[in-house]
Amino acid sequence: MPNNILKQKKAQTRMLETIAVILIFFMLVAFGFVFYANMQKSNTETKYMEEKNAKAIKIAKSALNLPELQCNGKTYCFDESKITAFSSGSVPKNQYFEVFRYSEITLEKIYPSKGKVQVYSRKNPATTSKQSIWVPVALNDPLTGTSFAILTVDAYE
Amino acid sequence: MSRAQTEMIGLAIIVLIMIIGMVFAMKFLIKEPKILSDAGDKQVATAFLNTLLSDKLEVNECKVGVELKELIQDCSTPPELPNRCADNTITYCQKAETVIKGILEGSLKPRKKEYEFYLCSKDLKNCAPGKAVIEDVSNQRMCRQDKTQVIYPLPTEYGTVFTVLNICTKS
Repeated sequence: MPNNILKQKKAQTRMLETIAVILIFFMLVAFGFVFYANMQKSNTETKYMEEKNAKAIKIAKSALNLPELQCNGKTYCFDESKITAFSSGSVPKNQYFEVFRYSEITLEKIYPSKGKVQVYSRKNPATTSKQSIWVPVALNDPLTGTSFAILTVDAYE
Repeated sequence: MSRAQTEMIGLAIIVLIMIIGMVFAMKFLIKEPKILSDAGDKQVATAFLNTLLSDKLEVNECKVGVELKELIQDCSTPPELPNRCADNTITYCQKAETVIKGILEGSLKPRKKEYEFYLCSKDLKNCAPGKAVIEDVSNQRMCRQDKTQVIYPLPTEYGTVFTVLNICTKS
């Protein structure tokens, strides 16, 4: 084989080698980018969920500490007579929009009797997306005693 | 520099890049604990026991005016001195078990929280499967992952009664 053809073949092989190395390098870089983007996406989603959760927790805490609803000086306790007055509409709900925003607050009695009371409801007309949290609470009635209940807060975006 | 040396350096660079990539990946793969979720479980467990042991949570079907807290405290009473419900069929402690299981099934179970509830007397070491006076576990496989634990001790005449609620953390 002539010498110049041999040299050409060798150069082609080296070119191929360089191209392969560059290809592998860029594949690694692309893999890294995809991995990083996925991680960032899941981190953003987690932060978004945490923020939504925090909003619902804030509303639940506001409800638990609202003097218009809570028992005297007790945590995780509502006064049933106050709840009845609040949910019956005798208290203008618009005043509480600053506190409860777009949310639904319900109390579900578990023991000794079962039942459900809607304390506050204002749905967001713009969205149906909501975050729910719940917490066990005592529902105290000075006449009939205490009930075990669950406070559920559905916070709309 | 000979060709072999250059190729060795190339290989070393690739290995270095891969190591840096692995370190980077590990940083993201080892997730930090979800503080918010843990705080949520802790709050639920605390609120649950707080409510369970609250004043005036009466179990009138056992005896008019008797509180669930009193029924629970009776679980440390020696067997020769049992307090019985008005119909004289079951003891306070047995009634407490029925009521607590009913409340757990009506509150935590529908909300898909896996839990372990133990009520034990005298020593916290007794708050374990097979040793507790009252035991309710939502899933027989128990908490396989981490759990959030809340303990409420109740002093009684015959020693302390411990109520323990473990909420299983979802993986």
